[in-house]
Amino acid sequence: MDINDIIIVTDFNPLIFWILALLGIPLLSFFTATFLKKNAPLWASTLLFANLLVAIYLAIEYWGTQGVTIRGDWFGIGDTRFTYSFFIDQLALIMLLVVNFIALLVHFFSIEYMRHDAQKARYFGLLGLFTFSMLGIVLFNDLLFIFIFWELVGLSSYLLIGFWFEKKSASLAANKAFIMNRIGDLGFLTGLMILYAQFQTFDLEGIKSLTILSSIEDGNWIAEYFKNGELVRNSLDGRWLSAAGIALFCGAVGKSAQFPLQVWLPDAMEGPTPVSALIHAATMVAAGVFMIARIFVILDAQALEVIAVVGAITAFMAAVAALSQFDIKKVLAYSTISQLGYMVLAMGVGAYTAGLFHLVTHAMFKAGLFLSAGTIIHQLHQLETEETRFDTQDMRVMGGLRKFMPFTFFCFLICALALAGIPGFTGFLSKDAILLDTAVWIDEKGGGFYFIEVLAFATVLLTAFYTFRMIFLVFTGTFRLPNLVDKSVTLKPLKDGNIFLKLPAVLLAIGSFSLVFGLSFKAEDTWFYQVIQNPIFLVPEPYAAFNLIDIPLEYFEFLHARVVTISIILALAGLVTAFLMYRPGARFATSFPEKREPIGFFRQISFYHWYQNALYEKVILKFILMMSRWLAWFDEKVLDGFVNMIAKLQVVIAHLVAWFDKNIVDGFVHLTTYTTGKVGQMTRSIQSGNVQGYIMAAMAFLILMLIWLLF
Amino acid sequence: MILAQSNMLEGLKDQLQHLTADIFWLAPEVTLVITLVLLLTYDLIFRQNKSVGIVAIAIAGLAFSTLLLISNWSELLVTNSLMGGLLRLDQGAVFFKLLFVVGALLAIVMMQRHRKKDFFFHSSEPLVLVFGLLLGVFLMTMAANLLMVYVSVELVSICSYLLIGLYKKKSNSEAAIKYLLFGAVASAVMIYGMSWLYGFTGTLDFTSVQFVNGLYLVPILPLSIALVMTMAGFVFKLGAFPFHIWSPDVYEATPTPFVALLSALPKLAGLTLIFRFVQVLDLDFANWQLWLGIIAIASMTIGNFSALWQKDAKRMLAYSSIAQAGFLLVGLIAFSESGETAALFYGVIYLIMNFAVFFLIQLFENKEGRIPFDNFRGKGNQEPWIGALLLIVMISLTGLPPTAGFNGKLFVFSALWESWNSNGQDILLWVFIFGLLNTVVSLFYYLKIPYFMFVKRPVDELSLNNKPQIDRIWGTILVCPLLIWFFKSDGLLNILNSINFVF
Repeated sequence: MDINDIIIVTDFNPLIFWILALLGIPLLSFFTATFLKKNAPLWASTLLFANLLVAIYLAIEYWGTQGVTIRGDWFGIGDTRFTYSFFIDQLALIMLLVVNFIALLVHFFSIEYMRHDAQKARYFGLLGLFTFSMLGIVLFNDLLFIFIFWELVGLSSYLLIGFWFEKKSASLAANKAFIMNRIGDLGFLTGLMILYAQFQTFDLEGIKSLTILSSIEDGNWIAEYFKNGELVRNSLDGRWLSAAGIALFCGAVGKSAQFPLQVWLPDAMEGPTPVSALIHAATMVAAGVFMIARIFVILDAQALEVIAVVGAITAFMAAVAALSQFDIKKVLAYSTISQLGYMVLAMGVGAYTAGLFHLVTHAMFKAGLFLSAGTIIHQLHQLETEETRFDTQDMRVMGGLRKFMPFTFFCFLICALALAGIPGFTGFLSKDAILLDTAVWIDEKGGGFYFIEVLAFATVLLTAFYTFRMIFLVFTGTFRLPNLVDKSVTLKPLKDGNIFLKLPAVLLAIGSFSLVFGLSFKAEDTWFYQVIQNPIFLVPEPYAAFNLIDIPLEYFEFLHARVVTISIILALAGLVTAFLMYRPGARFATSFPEKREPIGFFRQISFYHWYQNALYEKVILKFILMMSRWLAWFDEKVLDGFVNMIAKLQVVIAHLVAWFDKNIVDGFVHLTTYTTGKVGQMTRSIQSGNVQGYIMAAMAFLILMLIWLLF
Repeated sequence: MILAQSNMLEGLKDQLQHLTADIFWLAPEVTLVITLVLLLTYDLIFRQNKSVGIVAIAIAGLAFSTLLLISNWSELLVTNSLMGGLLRLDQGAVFFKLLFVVGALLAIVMMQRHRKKDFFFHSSEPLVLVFGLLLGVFLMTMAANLLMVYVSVELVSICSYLLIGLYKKKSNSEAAIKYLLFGAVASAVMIYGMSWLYGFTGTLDFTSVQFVNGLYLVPILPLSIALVMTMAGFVFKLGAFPFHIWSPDVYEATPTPFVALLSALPKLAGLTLIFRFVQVLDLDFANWQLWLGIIAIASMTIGNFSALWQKDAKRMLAYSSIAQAGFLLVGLIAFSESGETAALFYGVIYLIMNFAVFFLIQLFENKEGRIPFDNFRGKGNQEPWIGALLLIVMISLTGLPPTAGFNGKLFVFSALWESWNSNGQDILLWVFIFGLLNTVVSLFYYLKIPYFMFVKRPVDELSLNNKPQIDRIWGTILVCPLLIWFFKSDGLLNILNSINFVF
C-alpha cells in the first residue's frame, strides 16, 4: 500500500477556519494582553469566552460524526513530504470543551486573584500562550506537531511556575519542572525517531495504518509499504515496537508527573494558585494521558504493562505522600499525582474509556478544589498586614473556616467528595470504572500483577483519608490563626470571596455531581461511555495486548458488584478514620498546630515523599555535580593544560625557528650574500677602472669552459 | 681567354641583375640608410630648433621601413639569398626586424619623455647612431657569411660605443672606453675563430655545403676551439656569460633610453645569430645543448645573484638583463619547434618588458642620470598608477601570473622539459632546475622597487617629469600587452608559429 494513499491531503473544509480560530484567539490573547496592562484581564477573559463559544459550536456541529481529518502539505524535502493534520473526533471535542471551560473559569478567577499584581498583564498573556499550546496538542493529529506544542506547553508551564521569579523558590521550581519535563521529552523524541525510522511519517493516521500493515516475522518488526511507487521494507527487532511505545510514554511520564519524574509537580505549586488549577491539575498534566490515548492503539502488550505498573506505583506513592502535608496546595498536588497515576494505570490496563473519563471528571473536581483552596489562600492573604506575615497555604493557620466561608466550604466539600470517590459524585464513577477494568485485566493476567490491584485499592483508602483530613483540618474546629499571631494585632474578619472567586468554584462543584454524566451509578451507563469507546489494538499479532472488549460482559457484571462494594467500604473507612483522627477535639487535631518535622519512619517517608527528592539530590544531582566538577577540572587542567602546552611548545618552536632562521637560514643568506659579495667584489675590483682585468676574466672563463668541454 | 672574360662578364651581369632585384628585399635597410643620410644633412643645413625636424624624419623613416617590412612579410614565401649569398632573408628575420623597429620607436619615445630631452635632439647625432645600430641589427639577423656577421656585429658595436660615449662626462667616457676595449677583444676572438673556420673550409659562407663538409674533416680539438671562439662574439652581443662583465658599468653610466635600446636590440640580434649558427651547424661534432646550457645556467645564476645586492636600479637591471639573456637561451637549447616558438615569444615579451621597465624607472632618474633605490621611496603613494604599472612589469620580469612574463617562462621551460623527455640530456634538466630556482631568486630583487615605492617612507621630494599624465598613458600602453598576452596569447602564438625559420 502506498504511503501517499494513506496520507492524503484533504480537500478544503471550512472547519479549518474554526480550528484556526481556536488556536488563533488564545495566541492573539498572548500577543496583545501583555501590551494592554490594565485591561488585560478583561480582554483575555473575553477572548477566552469567545473561544469557548467556538468550542461549543464545534461540539454541537460535529458531535455525532466519526471524526474529521484535515490534512495539508507543510513542506517537502526531495521526495519526503511533511504534512500537517488536524483530527476532530469526540475525544478532541470533549478535550476542547474541558480545556476551554476550565481556562475560562481560571481567567475569570484570576481577575480577582491577581487584581493587585503589578505583572498581571504578563500573567494573562502567558495564560493565553498556555491555552494556545494545549489546544494545539488536542487538535493536531501529527506526532511532530504534537511534540512542538508539547514543548510549548512545557515552556508556558515553566514561565507560569516561575511567574513570581523574584522568589528564589519559584524560579528553582520552574527550573526543576522544566528539566524534569525535558528528560521525559527526550523519551518522546526517541519514540518519534523510532516510529519515523520505521514508517517515514509523523502523521498519526499514517502511523496507525502502517502499524496494521506491519508484521512480526522471526521476532523482527517489519513494515512494508510503497513510497512514491517504490517498495520500502523496514525491518527492526521486534523489541523496538515496545521501545517506541515506552519511549513515547516517557514523554507522558514527564508531563503527567509519573514516577520517577513526578517530583516537579509539588514544587510547581510555587506558581499562582489558579495556574495550579489550570495547568498542574486539570489540563497540562492531563496532556500526557491524552497523548497516550492518541497513540493507544499502537502500544503493544509490554509497553502497556510498563504503563500500568508505573501508574499504580505513582498513584500509591503520591497518596501516601499526601497523608502528612501541612501545605494545602501540596496535599492537592500529591493528590493530583495520585489521580494521574490512576489515569495512567487505566491506560496501561487497556481501560481507555475509563482513563479518559477520569481525566475529565478529575479536571473538574480538582480544578474546583484548587480554586476553592485559592479562595481560602486569597482571603487569608487579605488578613496579612505589615506586622503579621504568615504562610497563607499552611493548614496549621486555618481551621473552622466553614463558619467564615460557608460557600467555599460547600464547593470544596462537593469536589472533595468526588475526589474521595463517594457515590453520587463524578469521581466515584470514573474511579470505579478504572478499578473494575483493572480487576478484570489482572484476573486475566494473573501472576504478580495482583500488586497493582492492591496498590490501586489501597490508594482509594488513602485518598478518602487525606481528603477528609484536609477538610477536617481546614474547615472544622476553631480558626487557629488568631492564636498564632501576636495577640495585640486585631485581624480583619475573614469572609467568602466575591463573585469572581465564587462563580468558577460553584460551576466546577456542579460539574462534580455524577448527574452531569447520567443518572446511573455505573460508568457504563453514562453518555461519556456512549461516545468514547475502547479502540482495538492495531499492533501485529504476537505483540498485541488482549483487549478488554474481548472479555464477556458477564464477567464485568460479576466483578462490578464486588469492586463497588470494596471501594465504597474503603472510601468510607478512610473517611471514618480521618474523622476519628482529625475531628475537632480529637488527639491529632489538637496536636496538629504544634506539629513540625514529622517523627518516625513512615511519617517521614510520607512527608518527604519517599525521600525521592533527597535521593535525586544525594545521588543523581551529586553525581552530576561531581561529573561537572570533574569535567571542569578536566577542562581546566587537561584541556587548558594541553592548549597551554601547545602554546608553550609553539613558543619554544618559535624560538628554535628563530634560532634556525637567524643562524641557518640567515646564515645561508649571509653566506650567499657573502659569496655573491665576494663575486661582486671580484667583478667590482675588475670594474673599478681595470678593464684589463675584465678582459682577463672573460678570456679565462672562455678558456676554462673550453677545457672543461673538451676534456 | 676572351671566352673566359665574356663568361666572367656574363656572370657579373647576372650578379648585377640579381643585386638590383635584391634591392626590393633590402628596401627597409635602404630606407634606414636614406633616413640616416637625411638626418645628417638636416643637421648640417639647419642650425637651431632642429628637434622637431629630427624627430619627424626619424619617425617617418621608421614608419616607412615598417611598411616595407610588412610588404616583405607578406610577399616572402621562401628564404631568399641576397647579395650573392652574403645575406639570407627569411620570415624570422623580417619578424625580428619589425621588433627592432618597434624597439627603436620606443627608444625615441623614451628620449622624448626624458628629463633632458634636449640632449637627445639638439643635434641629429644620437638618432643617426640609433639608425646605424638599427641597420647593424637588421644585417645581423640576415647575415649568412662570416664576414657579414663580423661587419654587422662591428656596426652594432661601434654605434653602441658611440652612443655610450655621446654624453660627455667622465663616467660615460670611461664606460664607453671599457665597452670599446672589451668589445674589441671579443671581436678579435671572434674573428680569430672565424679565420680558423675559413682556414678549415675555404669558404666564409657558413650556410654552404662546402663549409659543413669542410668541418667534418677537421679534428675535434681545433674545431671546438674555433667554434667556441666564434661564438664568443655572439655571446658578447647577447651579453651572456662569460662576456657579460661589461654590462653593469655601462648600464649604470649610460642615459636610460640608450640602455633600453642596448639591452634589447643587440641582445635579440645576438640571439638570432646564435640561433642561425647553431641551426646550420647542427652537427655531431658540436654538442650545442651542453655549451649553450652551461652559458645559460651561468648567466642566469650570476645575473640573478649579483642583482640581489645592487643599490642602483639601472645596475640591478643590468644584472637582470644578464639573467634574462640566460632565459632567452633556454628556448634555443630545447632544439625543437616549440622551443623556437617559445624563445621567439619570450623575445617579444622581453622587448616589451624591457622597454616598459626602463621607461618607468626613467621617471625616477635624478639629475646625474642615476636611479638609486632611494629615489623610489614612498613614490607609490604619490603616483599610484605608475607604481601599479611598475609592479606589474616587475612581476612580469619575475615571470609570475597574471603577466605575459609568466607565459614566456612557461612556454620556454615546457619546451625544455619536452626536449629533456625525448632525448634525456642531463644538461637540460640542470638548466630546468637552475632556471626555476633563479626565478625564485629574481623575485627578491625585482620586487625591491615596488617594496621601496609602497612600503618605505619618502625621504625627499623628488619631483617627477612634467606632464606625468603622458607618462602614465605611455606606461599603460607598454604594460597592456603584458596583461593581454597573459590572458590571450594565442593570437601572438599563431603568428609566431607561422614563421618559417628555414635559413
